[in-house]
Amino acid sequence: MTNHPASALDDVVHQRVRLGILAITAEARRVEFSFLRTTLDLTAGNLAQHLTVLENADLICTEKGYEGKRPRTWVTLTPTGQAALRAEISHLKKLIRQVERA
Amino acid sequence: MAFTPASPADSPRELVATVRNLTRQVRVAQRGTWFPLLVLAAVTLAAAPVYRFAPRHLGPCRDGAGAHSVCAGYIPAVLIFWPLALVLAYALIARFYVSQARRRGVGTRVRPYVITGAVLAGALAAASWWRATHPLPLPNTGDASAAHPHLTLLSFATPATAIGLALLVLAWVEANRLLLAFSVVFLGTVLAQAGAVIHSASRWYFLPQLLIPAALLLLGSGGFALLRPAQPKP
Repeated sequence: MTNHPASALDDVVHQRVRLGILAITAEARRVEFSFLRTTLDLTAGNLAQHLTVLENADLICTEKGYEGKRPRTWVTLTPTGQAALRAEISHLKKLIRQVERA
Repeated sequence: MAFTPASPADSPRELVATVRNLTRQVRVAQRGTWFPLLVLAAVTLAAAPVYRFAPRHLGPCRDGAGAHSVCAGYIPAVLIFWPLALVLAYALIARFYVSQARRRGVGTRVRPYVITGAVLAGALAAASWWRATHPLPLPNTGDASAAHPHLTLLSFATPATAIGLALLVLAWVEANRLLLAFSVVFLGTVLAQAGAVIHSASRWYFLPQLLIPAALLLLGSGGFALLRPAQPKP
């Protein structure tokens, strides 16, 4: 087993779009589907797929409701998601330091 | 920096940069700095008629040497106006941020600011009440109470300093360096004003105490409104 920081990266979190979703949700605390779609420049279908992956991994939870007559989907980070995001960023920073030292 | 979806060769540095950029975008979307500044400027200006026209009361007096005595004068309506107006202002600000959060689709972090503002309004009310019901120290007479640090502190307990201190919390929750700089300048100005002694018999003696902070808040509100980035439509 290697101690290289790359081996600690979580495939679910490491993917660029999903990392983006987690980063936005962590900062916003609660974020609406359309904000994620616009900010990440994704199609609704593509975003929904990534959200499903994250929800299945228990990193986010989604809540559906209405704002007036408009249906809305709100996304929040679970404690597991918060820990996973922190760990991912920590591993990425370690990797950067390792590359800089090499 | 625009977000570039899934690239197979994302370097750790690019990913960290992307996270920072997205975090910054969320913070910008959560900001609504112009609104609290505008509301607080309006509250400050609305206080002027209360200072000018509400009846004055004479508080406790302290006899000095000769025929001199020093009395605490206060306006009961002002003691009620500030805490009430500030609490209502913070409720309005909270409502604005919640409504903006719904419209923009991002959560809000305004709660610590609103709570701090309301607590400071309560502390201000207590300090103002204490000042109105306790005799003032006698100036230039060696009165020992004049040197008490709590009296110096109380002289800085003004509505403008309460507004300025709460703005520091807003700068922190919005992670807004420009607002932090504005708050420091605002606090410096109002603290300098609070420490100054006004020698005036005019019934409008209070105007500089209200107009200067209100003008600063209005300028700040206008500036932050102009700097506000256009929000992408969902």
